[in-house]
Amino acid sequence: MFESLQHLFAGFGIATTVANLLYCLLGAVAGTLVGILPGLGPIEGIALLIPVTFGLSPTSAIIMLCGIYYGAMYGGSTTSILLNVPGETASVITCIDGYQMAKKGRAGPALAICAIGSFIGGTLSIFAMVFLAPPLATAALAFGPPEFFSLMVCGFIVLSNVTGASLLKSLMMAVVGLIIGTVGLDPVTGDYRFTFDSTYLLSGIEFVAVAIGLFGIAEVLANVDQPLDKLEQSVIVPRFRDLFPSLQDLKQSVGAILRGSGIGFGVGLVPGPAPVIATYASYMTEKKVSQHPEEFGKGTIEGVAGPETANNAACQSAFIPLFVLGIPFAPPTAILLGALMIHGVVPGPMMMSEHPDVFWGVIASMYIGNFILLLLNLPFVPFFASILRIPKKILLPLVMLFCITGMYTVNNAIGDIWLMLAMGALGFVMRKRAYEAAPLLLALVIGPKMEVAFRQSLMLSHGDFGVFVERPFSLAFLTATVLFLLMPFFQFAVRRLRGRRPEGGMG
Amino acid sequence: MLPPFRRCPLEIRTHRTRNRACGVIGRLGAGFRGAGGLPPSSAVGFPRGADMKMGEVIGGVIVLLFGALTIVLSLQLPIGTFRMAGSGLFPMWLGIVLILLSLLHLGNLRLKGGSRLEGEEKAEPPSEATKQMMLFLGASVLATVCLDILGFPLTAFLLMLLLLRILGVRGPAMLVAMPLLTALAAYFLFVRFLKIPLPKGLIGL
Repeated sequence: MFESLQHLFAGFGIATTVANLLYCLLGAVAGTLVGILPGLGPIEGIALLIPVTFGLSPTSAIIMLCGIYYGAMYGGSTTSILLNVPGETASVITCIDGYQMAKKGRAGPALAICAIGSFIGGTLSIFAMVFLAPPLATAALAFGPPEFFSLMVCGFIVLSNVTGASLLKSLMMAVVGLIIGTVGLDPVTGDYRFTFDSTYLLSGIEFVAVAIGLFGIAEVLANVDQPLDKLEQSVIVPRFRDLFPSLQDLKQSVGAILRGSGIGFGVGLVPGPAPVIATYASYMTEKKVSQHPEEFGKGTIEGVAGPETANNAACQSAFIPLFVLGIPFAPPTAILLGALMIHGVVPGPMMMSEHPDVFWGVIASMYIGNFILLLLNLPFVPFFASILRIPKKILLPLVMLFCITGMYTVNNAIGDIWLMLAMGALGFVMRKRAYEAAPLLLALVIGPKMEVAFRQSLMLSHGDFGVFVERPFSLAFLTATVLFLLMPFFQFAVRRLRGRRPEGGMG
Repeated sequence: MLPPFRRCPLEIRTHRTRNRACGVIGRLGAGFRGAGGLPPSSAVGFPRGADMKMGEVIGGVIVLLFGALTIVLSLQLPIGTFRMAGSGLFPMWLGIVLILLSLLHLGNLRLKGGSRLEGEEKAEPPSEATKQMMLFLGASVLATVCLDILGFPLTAFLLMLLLLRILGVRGPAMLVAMPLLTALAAYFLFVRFLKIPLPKGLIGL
């Protein structure tokens, strides 16, 4: 415990240099802006701004990208409250009571409580992470290739099952992502695969191009694919003096904030779109424990405080599996994994010993980032909200230009722009047909790791697949996977039984 | 007189077998989604999957073909054994899994019918908006073609001009000032400030 604190203090030494403070601030501001803009979320924000970090040291780069991530989670609530349009998926729940509060002229307190709750949830989550990460990393050192493979399979299935679309479609997209991930150099034998004698494909498919294409370009195209008059929306910007919540508001929110922190932290540790699940779980919990559940949906402050706190707590604790296991459980952390690898940092159990400056520097910067975001979001909410007044007919071309420019800067290759545009078109079609892009991206990023784990496991066992069920942790992960796969059947069976009961009674 | 029953997506002759088949279909159709079986409305007006949403089927077939192509290409690589896997083994298995999943998906569509597919668009987007989107994407493709020839600043200016025009920006001041400012800002940010080289083209900027 004391060792962790010691490392954390050293991390603060790194995070508080002028340069790193500046990058943390830049990341937080950029993230807030990205989160505020409807349609753009942390995934698009990080993917778009990765190229900007190329000239930076790994620590500064990751500090900035993490700032974008949690900044976007903060910013996402603003449009939910002011426009009833979630800035990103995790803010959908905030729309329910947040927008109702805004309609009653209480947008200020709703936005303020979001900022306060997000700060508390995020900070408590980071605090727990400091003490949980080291023992988890030690435990993860005992993981061999079979455990990692089973864990990744489990992650895919859980993510595919909770993304909202059809499980089959999500699984198909995950497998497509895994296949795309095999293009290039075979990580074990060094053979070239599916390169078709193209030098561009030798180093594999550029994941930044896929990420920007599937999320950024597809979002722009989806926005353009609607009548011009539907592109614009009116927004009410709250005044500074209306921002402060009353003592009663704060009293009502304390419990929700604390519960949201716990829920968010726990949910962030498991595979899936943690912030989305955490907000939903928190909202349901608040409704359940409330003495006035009928007030939910009509603009109660607990309905805003709980989910927004859980949202940020989950987004912070989602860093634990990324840093400790080297496995991202959600798309934003998958992109961060890619960014870490671009900067030469391989996350995993050894990260703490091999790159302590990055690990502890980034964790320390999260405290600072959360504080910056609190300062930014309280007094500057009217300013950020006024960004929403930029007409989309100007914003969308700007985003497209930024995507093309940013993409080119990754490898100075026009081929990357072609790939990005192709992926954008694909992402647009996928949206139209309700195919999830998140499993594809996640699979693309961790596919090579998964393949190595799979092949190493079979080498260890001399070709015996029993290795995946003989080892307890691996067996546990696979059992969880099977249970998740069978869950819809169980749910169906339960519904069938419930449905039959009245018939039986009548008969 | 025989009681009325739900219409079922399979051509079944007798009432007894028909009812039994509907039960199985409902169970399988809902299986992966946990949707609780086919609602009565899903079967009504759907005789044999004939009016199954075409886009969904095409999507499933494309994924299936992608899986098949993966297997074909993987077989050209060393496959090895499970003990010492070659570079083609993993993608080959992925291809097989993908084909199985797409077959399941297509089968599911066949059983479920066309009236309640996930993500089904209730209303097709207006053709004008689709045209606008195609123009927007086309302009971006054109800019990518021109990037190496015209260089970044000019391409950025022209791209912004085109995109703004496509999205209905009309004022000449906005149409010129906005692209100019954006191109200059992007140039100074990337080339001057971040020192990232961008295509210079014939202009040499």
